[in-house]
Amino acid sequence: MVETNENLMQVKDLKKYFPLRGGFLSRAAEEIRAVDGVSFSIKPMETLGLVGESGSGKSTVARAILRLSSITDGQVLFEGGDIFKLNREELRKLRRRLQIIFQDPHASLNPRMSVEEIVGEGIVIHRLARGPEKTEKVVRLLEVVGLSARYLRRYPHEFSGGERQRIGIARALSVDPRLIVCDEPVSALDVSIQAQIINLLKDLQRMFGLSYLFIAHDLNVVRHIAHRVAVMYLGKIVELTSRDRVYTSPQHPYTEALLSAVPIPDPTVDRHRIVLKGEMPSPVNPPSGCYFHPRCPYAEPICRQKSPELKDLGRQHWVSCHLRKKAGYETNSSKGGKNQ
Amino acid sequence: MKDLLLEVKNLKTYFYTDEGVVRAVDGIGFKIRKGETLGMIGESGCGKSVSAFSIMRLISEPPGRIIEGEINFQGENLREKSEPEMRRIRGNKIAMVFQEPMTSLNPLLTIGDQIAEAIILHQKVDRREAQFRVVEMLERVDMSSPGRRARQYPHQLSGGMRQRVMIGMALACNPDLLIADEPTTALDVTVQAQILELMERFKEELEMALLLITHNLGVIAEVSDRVVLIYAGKTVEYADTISIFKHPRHPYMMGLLESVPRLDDVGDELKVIKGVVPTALNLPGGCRFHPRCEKVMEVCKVRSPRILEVEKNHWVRCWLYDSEGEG
Repeated sequence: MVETNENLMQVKDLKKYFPLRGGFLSRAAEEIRAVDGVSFSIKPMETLGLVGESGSGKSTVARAILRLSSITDGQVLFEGGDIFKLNREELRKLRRRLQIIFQDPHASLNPRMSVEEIVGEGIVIHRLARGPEKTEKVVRLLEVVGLSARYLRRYPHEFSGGERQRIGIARALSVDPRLIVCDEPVSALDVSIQAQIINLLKDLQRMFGLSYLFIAHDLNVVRHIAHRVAVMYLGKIVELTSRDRVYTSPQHPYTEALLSAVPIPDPTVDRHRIVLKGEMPSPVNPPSGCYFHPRCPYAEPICRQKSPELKDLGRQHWVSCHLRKKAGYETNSSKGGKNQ
Repeated sequence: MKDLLLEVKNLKTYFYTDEGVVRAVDGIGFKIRKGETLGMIGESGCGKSVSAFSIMRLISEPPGRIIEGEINFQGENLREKSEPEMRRIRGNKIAMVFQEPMTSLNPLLTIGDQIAEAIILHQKVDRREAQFRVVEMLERVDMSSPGRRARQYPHQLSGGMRQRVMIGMALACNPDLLIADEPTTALDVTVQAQILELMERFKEELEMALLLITHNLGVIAEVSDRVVLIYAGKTVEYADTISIFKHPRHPYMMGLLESVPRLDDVGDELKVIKGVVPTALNLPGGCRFHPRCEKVMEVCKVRSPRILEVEKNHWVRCWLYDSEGEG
């Protein structure tokens, strides 16, 4: 997290609050702390998994780092420069380097545009090629994502969900990006198609030297693509470490519960599911101290009083939990679950 | 079979549209015993929900029609029931929970009023008694501050809470069978865990059978006693949960198990089932899985396989296990 030069993207203490207007003079009475002090970095050719449930703030983070929204506080550095301090021309260049793949392949492609127009739009806007050269480039992109050149003149409704997602990927690739935000790219797809898309994304990463911020709402898909994983809860990162450490020795009680909640497709695996009480509280009125304490099976008095900081336990394993320092805690949590 | 509750035999439900006949359900069969959980897996458009709606006789006619098969529930064929008879069965004996609880709840009524309506309709109680039972029911589904929630509207509840309301309403009349169509698909994993736990608890308390429809293999593995796998409108494999997960016979089931991203597997490259899920308007000939099958043979391309019991209580629809397909 320190060697700035190595990072493609570095997010420092990012905050995004939304004012909640109430009353008759529309004064900002309260605010929603959607993202409340998030820091992470992404290295070249690295995939960072950003995992959180609905309301955790993961999509707000994605919008902010793409500069699709303003931020309340903090910094987003991309290739060393602050993306919120760019002039018009620099911003236009940034749009090329940063791309996104959306969750819903039905909603994210314009139904009135042919595949050639969809994939070629960015090429034209950024003046990368024109005429036959552009078409040639589109054909090449389609081939790269596993679609035939015969599809050039077809429209989105003629394709299945998996194929549309491939079109969306080709569109993202068309402007030679360095970092692609993948916003739950397989969640809406059939199970037998998900693996195809995950493998494709991994192949493309090797081929084009891409970095990904891979957003997901649970941990099982991320395991197959991410190098490091950040877990978010109520606007904060609660744990950030390498993929293997997240799965073999999760340190935050929320990560542990999230892991144990994912059903495993093997009826002979006998395990204890940690069923959390209640639901994620509202970011308008978050709990005191550690935001997770009302649902935490291990909560102690300090958790109600003081907000924990994200600290490195060593070997780049960052955790935000007061109880982590206690002896014996690691052995309890390392097996992925114990009874409440 | 002892304790047989529901037997669906060779069910076929077609839709007659301008674009052609959609054979949404085209040979689905299974049995459910009293108190057991049958998991139904399949991908979008394979006919899972249409099967459920056919059992409930909720297929809108036209364009849809159940053209063949039997739906024997407690010894009686539901296909022969009149609409008033079906109305007495729905809710009382067979209840249903849907994927998106927001669309199944009336946005203009408080949830308390909606639950009360269901209670008054099915149990002979007055409004005051019904109000009392509403709060009791919300308590039963672990709703926090049930008195306050009863006065709220659906949009004020989270997805998980709405699904609790739906389950509570479905169970208000102690049905013998609950059909749950993707009940946790729209929910977060930790909420999914809560809802699954709730359904299991009720199943035991009420000795109720559950037909759980989902595309999530993990959910199926955790809660089902037996599993029926559907592909393009047909049952392709049907067995108890351990044998179908541990000794899958159909190449589709084998492929699914290998391709699903899972937590307990570190493997780097995921195995893939090639091709796309066929649409019901454009089904391949022969075995409907053959264009995607790794073990495809000549016979698979021309003749549709029958479903056979290849081992005790393990049924498969595949030419690999049918001697008639040889030569």
